[in-house]
Amino acid sequence: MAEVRTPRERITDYILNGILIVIFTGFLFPVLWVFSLAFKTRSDILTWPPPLLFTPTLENFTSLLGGLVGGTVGRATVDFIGNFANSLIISSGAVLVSILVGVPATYAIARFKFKGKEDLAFTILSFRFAPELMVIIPIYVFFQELRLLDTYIGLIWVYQLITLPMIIWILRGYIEDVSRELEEACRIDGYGQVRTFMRVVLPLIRPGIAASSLLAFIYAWNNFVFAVLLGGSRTAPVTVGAMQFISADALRFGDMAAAIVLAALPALLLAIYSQKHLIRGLSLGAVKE
Amino acid sequence: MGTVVFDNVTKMYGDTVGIQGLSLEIKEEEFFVLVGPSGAGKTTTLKTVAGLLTPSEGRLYIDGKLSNLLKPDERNVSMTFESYALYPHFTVYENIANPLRSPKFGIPVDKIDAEVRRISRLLEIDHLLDRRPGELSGGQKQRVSLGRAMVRRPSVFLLDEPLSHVDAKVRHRMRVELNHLQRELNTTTIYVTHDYVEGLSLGDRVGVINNGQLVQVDTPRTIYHSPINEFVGQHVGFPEMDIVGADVVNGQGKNLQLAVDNVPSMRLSVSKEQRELLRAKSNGRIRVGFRPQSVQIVPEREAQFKGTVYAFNPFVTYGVLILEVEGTQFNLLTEAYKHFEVGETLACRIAPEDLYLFDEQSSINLTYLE
Repeated sequence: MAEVRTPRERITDYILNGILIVIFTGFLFPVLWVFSLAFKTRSDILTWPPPLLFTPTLENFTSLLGGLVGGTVGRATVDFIGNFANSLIISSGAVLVSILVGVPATYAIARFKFKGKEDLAFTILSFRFAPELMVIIPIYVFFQELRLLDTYIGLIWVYQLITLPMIIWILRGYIEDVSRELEEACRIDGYGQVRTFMRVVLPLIRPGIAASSLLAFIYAWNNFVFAVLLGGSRTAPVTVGAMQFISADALRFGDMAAAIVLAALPALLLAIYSQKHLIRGLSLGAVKE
Repeated sequence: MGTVVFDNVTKMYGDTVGIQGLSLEIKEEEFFVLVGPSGAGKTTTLKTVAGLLTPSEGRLYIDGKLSNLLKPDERNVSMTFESYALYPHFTVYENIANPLRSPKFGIPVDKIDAEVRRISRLLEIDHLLDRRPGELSGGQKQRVSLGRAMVRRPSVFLLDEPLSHVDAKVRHRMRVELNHLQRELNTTTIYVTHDYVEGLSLGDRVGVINNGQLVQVDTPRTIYHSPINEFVGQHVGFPEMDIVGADVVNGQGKNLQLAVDNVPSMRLSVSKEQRELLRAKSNGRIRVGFRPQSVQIVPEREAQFKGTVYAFNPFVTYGVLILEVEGTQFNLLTEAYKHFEVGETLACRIAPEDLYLFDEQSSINLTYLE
């Protein structure tokens, strides 16, 4: 049945929706702009005022993936596919390590009582809000000594500063939501502590693991500072790779836009795929409320 | 198999007492009920037997084996929780099968299947096996949690308030079935409840617990008719037993009478045995208790005292009347079909054998007082 609304309420609705549309367009404009740039020829890009209608072209993508960019002026070779692979290796590696370390750590923080627990939890969180530049110099020196500069292991390690706090702080709530009595019941059913965790806790926090690793992955994927300073030509991810389009003689907007569109794909696909895991309903009905 | 012995067991939570100095022997195949108000230490006692809590002091023996430090999966006990604690991500079948699937037992799959089906038929949940707990009603969840506990052959069943969340009708049926099941399975059972009716109707023996201490352990009959102190007397029974202070005074001849405080017109007579008890163990002061169903409405000439009706609540099967006698109020249990007007005067008496006599200082029943 349709809700009966007074004219006054309807006007408020129009105004609010109007404001939302303006804000939405504001946020979405850069995305749409970059997306359109990726399909424009160099001359279309440089035309002013920008044409609303243009013949889309895939030349930016082909040159990007072919490794040869630049068209008529300032030709250069880039290894976009290599950058992309690096991003995948580093980001998924970092998330994987964070889950392996973070899930048991979070369980301990959520379930056990021990001295300095909250301090420890806060310290881990503080990695997240401390500016990266503040710690980069000492880390650089360490990495130089340990010969970890420009290695996957080094970057995956330092990316823990980004991904681990994310996973621990999101998962904590999920684990605390799992009733202790479920674990107690499973212990009585004849399962040891580790088996109980695998059988009862892990399946119930799976949506939390999906949500937190998705977010952690996106943050890791978007990171620039660690990668540009501690990485190098061998390990440069897409964020660093995109800088190559800014050279002394030209700004290659078209290639850059194509690279950005491709770089945004994994996070987008992952988000669409994980949506079904992001439902919290699984833990409902476990115990009497 | 199936004995539990508490030898002076204490469980502290930091500075707070969970249970204190609990000594108790539960016999093989016994249905033992623990009743007490919330926070009395009932669940703590169960969890200690289950191994979810470790005693701070004392010794706990299960089947004659010192079990203080055994982990829950190392003891052969099964437990149901007040919250049911069903695994929400498992189906009913998987929930019931869980104890049998433990790697500890290594039971073959076809045997597990047969057991799960046998138990679910017994509990009439065999049509629900593919559902998840979220799709079940309270009574059904209850059955599943019982099924999970009963599917194996434990030394002891631990049942924590199993009927508290099911509605009254189901509760009555489940109570009957529980009784029947226990006789059939012959497994030692410790049953925790705050509902004394449930406790007294199910238990072979009943333990009343308060503030972490076991107050009285005896048969349901003795607990009801001969409570050890005022707490047990008042906890067991509805409406609550009325207990008032009284002076022991001389009546006609050698007889003694109880003159109730603040109610000069109320004089209660005692029996011969009670007279001896009063002579031996009271020094003129006493606390006297009587249950609401013992206050009889009688013709005026037989009355011990008279009062006016303050309020009357007819329930379906009984009525609760509040009688005011010179400013003091007492509960009366009446037949439901009778009607009383507020302000109406009633003549009442209480038979001597329906009186409970408690020591004024210690509140212990005179029968038990040393």
